[in-house]
Amino acid sequence: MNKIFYGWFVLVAGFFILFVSAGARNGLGFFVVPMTEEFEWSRKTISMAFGIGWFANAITQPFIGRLHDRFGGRIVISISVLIIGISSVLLTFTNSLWFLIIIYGIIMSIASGGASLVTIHAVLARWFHRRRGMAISLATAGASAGSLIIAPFTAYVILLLGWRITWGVLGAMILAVGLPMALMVIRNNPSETGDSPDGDPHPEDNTPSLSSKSNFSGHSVSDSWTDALRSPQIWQLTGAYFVCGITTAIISFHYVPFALDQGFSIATAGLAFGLMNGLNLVGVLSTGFLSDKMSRKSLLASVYAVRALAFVMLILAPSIIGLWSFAIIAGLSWAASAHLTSSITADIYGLKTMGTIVGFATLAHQMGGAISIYLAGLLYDIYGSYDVPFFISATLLIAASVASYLITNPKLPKQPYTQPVKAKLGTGM
Amino acid sequence: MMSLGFVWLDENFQAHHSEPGDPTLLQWIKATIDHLFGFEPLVVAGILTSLIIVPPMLSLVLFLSLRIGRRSSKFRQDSTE
Repeated sequence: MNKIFYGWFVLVAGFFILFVSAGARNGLGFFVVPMTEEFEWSRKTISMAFGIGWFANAITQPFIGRLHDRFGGRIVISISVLIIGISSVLLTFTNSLWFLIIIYGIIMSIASGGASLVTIHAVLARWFHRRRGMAISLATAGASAGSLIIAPFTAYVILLLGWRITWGVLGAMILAVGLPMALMVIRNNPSETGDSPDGDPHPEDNTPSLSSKSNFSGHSVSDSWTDALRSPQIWQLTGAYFVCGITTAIISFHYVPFALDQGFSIATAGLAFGLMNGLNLVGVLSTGFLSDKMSRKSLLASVYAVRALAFVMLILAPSIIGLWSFAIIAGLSWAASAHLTSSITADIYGLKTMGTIVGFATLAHQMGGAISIYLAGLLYDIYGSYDVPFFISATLLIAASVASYLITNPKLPKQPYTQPVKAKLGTGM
Repeated sequence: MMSLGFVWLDENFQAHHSEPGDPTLLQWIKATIDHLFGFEPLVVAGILTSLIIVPPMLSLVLFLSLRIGRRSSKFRQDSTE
């Protein structure tokens, strides 16, 4: 029987870890109403707890990425999944705002960064070289699928069994699915199973040491993440990803109220939002496969340009056409930027500091999201419509598209990826 | 940064967007799921849980069985040598 490349198992594990962890996190909004009703908190109060979570998650992303680069993905992801699962179960016992802030806002939110796109992408980038775009996009699809399936599941179980049991169910799911996947399947790099990236045969005459730069090949391999900060590409990528955060948060938080403002029913708004989530999967997978066959920077630029077009449609097209065309166009481009940003980072800076650099970009993304949620609401209050925030979004997306296109030479390294041969043969499959 | 965030979020975080987990939306989601499956709510919850849990569990079982199979075949190989 032919040996199955172990990287496929790592990919499946990454998919399901993101499926449960991102899925559970994206159903968070459904807890707001039942929890505020039980404790008689104001919406602002509970929003503060969740907002602290958003910031804690954002600010710690580069540090989590650094932990990944130093200790490897397996340990960081496993501990993070364990903490997320236990925290979810503990939230069953929420009895005060401080309990919620400490368990969700701080502990669970920080741990979420360790079982996120940042760490999973960084692990997969080591396992896949020629097919890096496809592999990273497939794992990203796990997060999209989790949001699509687990968020409505969360809503359903809250109405059926109450919010306390729902936290427990989500925690149990994370522990039952994510923890064994992380502990038993994830391996930090192919050398641990005697493999080469993509399952390619070992180069016969090449047995470099683990510290060799060739093991972390990229266009301009960085020994230190601070070196990367001195290059323009990181700022182009991070700036564009900041805009990505702004525009996806506007979609997430303001699309449904926009639809309701236009006079659509909650069912229509929900269906359009659901369609957008479904097409999100299509966009991630198709751009992932394309990204191994064409220039990734051009693809990233196209993704931002397409999303800009979606916002233009929302402003210019009559309401019903605008609503559905936005759902289709924005859905296709919604999450495609995440895996492309990670892949381009790996291509340019190599793998040694990839976790930290992607964590830095993710920090910008999350900050952009937090700022835009507030600003879009403020601009709505001032102008009485979403035209201004949507116009700003479209303009920023065009700028992000140009910045991405101008990234210099983010090609896949032409030399074959080389890997240390620590022949633990038999551990792979 | 964090303290600034606290003040800012407390005052303005939810300036204007949908009620997170809008009760109407929640009810609509539940009604739609009930309509799709057509079973008792607890059965539907069980089906949904299975849809979430079973694929990763099957993947894990496949992974473990392949690993055990490989190890035992390697052991047999070593024994014959």
